[in-house]
Amino acid sequence: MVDPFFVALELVFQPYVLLVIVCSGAFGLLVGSIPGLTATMATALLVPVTFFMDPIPAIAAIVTTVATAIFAGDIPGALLRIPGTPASAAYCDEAFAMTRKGQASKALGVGLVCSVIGGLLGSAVLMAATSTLADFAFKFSSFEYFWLACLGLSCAVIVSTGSVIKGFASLLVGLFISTIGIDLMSGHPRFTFGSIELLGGVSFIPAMIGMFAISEILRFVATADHVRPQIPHQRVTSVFEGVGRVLSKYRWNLLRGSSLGALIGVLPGAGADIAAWVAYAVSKRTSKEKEKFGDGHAEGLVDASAANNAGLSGAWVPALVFGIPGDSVTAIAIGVLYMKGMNPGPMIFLENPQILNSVFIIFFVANLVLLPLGYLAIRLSTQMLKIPARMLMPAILLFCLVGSFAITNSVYGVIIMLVMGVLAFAMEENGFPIAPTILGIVLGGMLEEMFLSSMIKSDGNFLEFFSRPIAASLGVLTIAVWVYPIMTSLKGNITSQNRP
Amino acid sequence: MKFNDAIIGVFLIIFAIIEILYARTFPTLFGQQFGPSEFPILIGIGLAFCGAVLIMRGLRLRYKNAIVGGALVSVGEWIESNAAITNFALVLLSILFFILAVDDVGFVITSFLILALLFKRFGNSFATSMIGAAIMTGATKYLFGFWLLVPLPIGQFGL
Repeated sequence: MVDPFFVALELVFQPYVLLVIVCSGAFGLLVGSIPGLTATMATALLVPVTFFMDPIPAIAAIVTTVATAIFAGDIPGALLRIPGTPASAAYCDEAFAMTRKGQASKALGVGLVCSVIGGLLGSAVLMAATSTLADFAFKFSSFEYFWLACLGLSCAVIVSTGSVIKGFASLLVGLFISTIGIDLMSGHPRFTFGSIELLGGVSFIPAMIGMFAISEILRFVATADHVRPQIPHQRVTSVFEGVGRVLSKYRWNLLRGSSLGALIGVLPGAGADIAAWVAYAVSKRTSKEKEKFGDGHAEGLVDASAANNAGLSGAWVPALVFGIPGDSVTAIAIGVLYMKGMNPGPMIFLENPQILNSVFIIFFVANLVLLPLGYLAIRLSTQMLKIPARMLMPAILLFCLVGSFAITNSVYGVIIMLVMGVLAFAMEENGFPIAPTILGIVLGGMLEEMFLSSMIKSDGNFLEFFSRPIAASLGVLTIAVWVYPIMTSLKGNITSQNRP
Repeated sequence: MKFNDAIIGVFLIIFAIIEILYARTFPTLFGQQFGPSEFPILIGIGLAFCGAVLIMRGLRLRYKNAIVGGALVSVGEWIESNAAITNFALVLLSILFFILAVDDVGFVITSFLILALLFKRFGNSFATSMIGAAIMTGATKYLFGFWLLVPLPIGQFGL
């Protein structure tokens, strides 16, 4: 029998897949380098195309696009002080300060190389962690899966931006949307109001396009002042000059940023943005040259730009092992895998080991491809930043329309996209994060299935949910995740009332 | 448009009540006390809880600070700009136009009209708008219609 790893190598190193990787890399760099367009939006725009691909090129396209888009966010951050993606926001001021000192090339070069190394180390963590956790995951029954999904969703709410209660409401909206359609256990239609198309549920891809792309377009037309940014007159040529010295000096920062990024990425809901903020903060706190931070010092850049790319791989750990996404992008990727009939979870290790190995290889290839493509993007950066948003936004809108239409082959997909786009816009206007909604839509079906299966097994006795050791531990942990902030808040209130 | 948390809270509670009442009409699983209504009811309870917390928070904010954040409804700066409102409405109307017209008029004409209008509206010259709309429509038709074999509607004009 042929080793699945060699089968995976054969699957990935095909001209078609490699071409997909290069094209998606270029696409990710373009989208990521345009301020306002996020890596998640890039994925959302790409998914309708991946829908028509085989699983391996589809995964390759998603992974490469996100990895390159996250790096590309550094480009406008360094040159214009506008982060291309939220993941670059943490060190945008630092990189721009380097540009003001005439070190734009160095800032981008350090960012690129650290992103590549961070991505590669994160991929190694992904490979090691999934294999280890898979054995553990085989012991899971519906009780454990129920609590794990609850824990994942709870963490996603707790770490989401803004207020926790709004994050929780956002998650419940997503879970409600996931209940629309025929209930698979009883065959009873829910919240369909006679619509035949709603019987199949709210189509995931148009919903995601609406929430991430249409809401972004609406925000652009509503708030943009449409003034062209001033691109600094600075030649970005010797990209790798001086990078070696910086990396040699801060090699431990590089290792620490990558490890921290991969670990934070594993937490559901955390992802690359938070990884970069935490890594930058840790770098500043532990630095021997704290006073140089904010004045164009490369140290924080090394930590944070390695962390955000490492975080991407980390987010795939819970996604592949348990079928529980770590962030919005892996939520989208899981949606794609489900649509292709490949349910992520421990069984994928037995049923499709070649697919799993392909994911690992794709991560390594995508991060390696980032080096030449990123170099090219830096060299072309001043041209890319000149692309006017007034040309891009209508083009993106058309792509959204066609992408949503393509999934359902009818305007039903476009209607879902419109409704979800307006909903996401209104939610964000009022401080509700939208990532928990997406996680709720993706995980709602699984959560309910595990809940009802467990209820049937326990004959309706909820105490049975705590009858197995792992389930009980996960259950207690989930409750603690909710109780701890409430207790802290109450304690704070009592202290402030008692203060004279 | 930004609503005070209390208004959102009231909306969430009303929604939750309707959702719970409707979910209670679902049948139970054969031989069980529970069924497809359980999960939606739990979601409804959660939404009602969020609504109650938001009402308390909104009212406290309104009481504490009558000026900043105290208003029940406040409009974003963009609402004060006619151009921004027009652009916002145009994007939504374009999507609605696509939904209503694409099956009858066909993909090519519908998308060309939408793109030309939006390109021009967002500040491009007439020639750029027309050429841009034609190129983008052609490229999208080729990518999705011919390459990915999506059955894009051709309408009554066969386009």
